[in-house]
Amino acid sequence: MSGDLAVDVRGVSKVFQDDKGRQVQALQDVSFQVRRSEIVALTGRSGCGKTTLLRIIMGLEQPSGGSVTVDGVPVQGCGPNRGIVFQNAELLPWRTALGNVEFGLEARGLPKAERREAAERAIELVGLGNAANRRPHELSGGMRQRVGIARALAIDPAVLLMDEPFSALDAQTREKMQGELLEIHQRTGKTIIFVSHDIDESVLLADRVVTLVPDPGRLHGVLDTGFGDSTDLDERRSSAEFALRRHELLQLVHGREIQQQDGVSI
Amino acid sequence: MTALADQAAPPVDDETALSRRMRSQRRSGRDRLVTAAGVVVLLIIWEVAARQVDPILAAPPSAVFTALIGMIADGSLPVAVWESAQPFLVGYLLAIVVGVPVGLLIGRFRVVEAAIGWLVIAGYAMPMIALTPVFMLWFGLGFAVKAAMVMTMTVFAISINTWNGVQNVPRTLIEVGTAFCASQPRILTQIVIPSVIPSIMTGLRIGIGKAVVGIVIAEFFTAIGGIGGVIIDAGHSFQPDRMFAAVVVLMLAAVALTGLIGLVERRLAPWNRSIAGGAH
Ligand SMILES: Nc1ncnc2c1ncn2[C@@H]1O[C@H](COP(=O)(O)OP(=O)(O)OP(=O)(O)O)[C@@H](O)[C@H]1O
Ligand SMILES: [Mg+2]
Repeated sequence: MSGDLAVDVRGVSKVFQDDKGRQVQALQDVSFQVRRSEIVALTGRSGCGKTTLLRIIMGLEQPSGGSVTVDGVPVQGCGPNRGIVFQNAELLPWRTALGNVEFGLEARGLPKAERREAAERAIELVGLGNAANRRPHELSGGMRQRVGIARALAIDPAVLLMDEPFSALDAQTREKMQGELLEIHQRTGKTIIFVSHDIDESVLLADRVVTLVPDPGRLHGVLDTGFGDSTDLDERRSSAEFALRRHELLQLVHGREIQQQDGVSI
Repeated sequence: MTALADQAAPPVDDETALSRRMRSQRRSGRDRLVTAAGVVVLLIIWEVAARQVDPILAAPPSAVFTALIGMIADGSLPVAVWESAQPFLVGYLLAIVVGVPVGLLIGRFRVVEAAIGWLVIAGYAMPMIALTPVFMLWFGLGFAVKAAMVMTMTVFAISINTWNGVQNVPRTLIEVGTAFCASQPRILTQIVIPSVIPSIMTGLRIGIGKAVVGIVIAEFFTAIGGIGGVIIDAGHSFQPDRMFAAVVVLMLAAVALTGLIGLVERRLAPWNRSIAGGAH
């Protein structure tokens, strides 16, 4: 069992102090597991603690209770086994695309030549080979997001964490990036946990979808998707499974409301 | 954030807008022509008006120009400029050497902010001119008092802008450092300082204006040498042509120095210019 387990979130709670000193329970007793090479989506309404959970897994935030282990090792701050992609890419504006990808490798103290090579490989992987020397302000939003992904991939983490990686993109670019993500996943076999607001995106990309509900943020349900071996987005989208899973997820997310509607219509 | 920090947060000079305009202006040919015409018209009005007045009180541009040539030829102007430039440079460099680190420290460490943040704000808000008589007691009437005035006038503007810059370093970028396991020194050198460079340059640019006021005030009070000395002497001896000539030189020098800082900024932080300039 443990050999197959990549991320183990156990009874994680998080209490924040807001500016007025009041306690805000962002997460309450959240537990779930992610298997190696699995893609898991975190979804749920705004404010249900998705970002907080991702940040706890990354080690950017300390849980108030519970624990997270990655590859059997408890999470204590940052670590080379996890790479994160931020919602708005968060590139360093004074560095080129390649320089940004190198950042994580520098922090690791890799020799210059090795660093350069790993960064170039990562930037090729996201299809930005010919924009490597441009600064972020010379890149489009989608390209910036890809640099962010390359930066996380370059350190070769076991687990890739992504916070709404495509939400700032237009529909067409988003679709393209979703396809690329699946391709990267195929090629690298990374474990991926991504946050998404988008029901379709969650169902399309993830092997399992974890849904949270707010006030306080807690686990609501876990949905298995499963498209067999198909990694083609169009194929997935037009499959019967997609419609079914999508409906199931909607039901899960909106809970009672849909059931009542169904009840009325019957 | 403390109350002090909040006060310090907004952009820190009324001159900022002006210098930013000077920096980012990309003029079309027509704009240039209009500007040139404006200058010519002003000069003509000045010329005509000044000729109606007693030459003891005002000088037309032609006379100012003649005086300027004369002052260059007899060497008095270059000497005066050199006399001002030395304490100016020393005071300005001192202000950078002190102001930037102080601003960085106040911005980065709460303790330092609590300890001396108020001092920087007070120093910035206070008209330092009021200290000139005291400075003359402390530093005498020569080089030292001029440099000290320049330094005091400038250092707070540089500090407060640097401080402001550190506070405005995006928290998310620092988090990138944390997420990729960068050490504190690495976060400081690779993320904080590059983020702050544009703010430091703003401080330096505003500092030029302050430093020019500082040197002139010091030379007015001490009435010894330098461009300020020339202005005072010419004023006292009813030679408005010489006085205006010195004022024009002063003005040109201030504009040139501000432009120079802008040039350095563009070299040091090209990303900033293309982001800020993108709005136009
Ligand atoms: N640093 C903080 N201080 C205080 N409260 C916080 C902090 N960060 C998050 N919260 C609170 O925790 C709750 C969950 O926030 P979180 O950002 O994790 O939600 P989310 O699910 O990512 O929402 P969204 O979909 O809008 O991004 C919210 O109620 C939020 O106000
Ligand atoms: Mg969020």
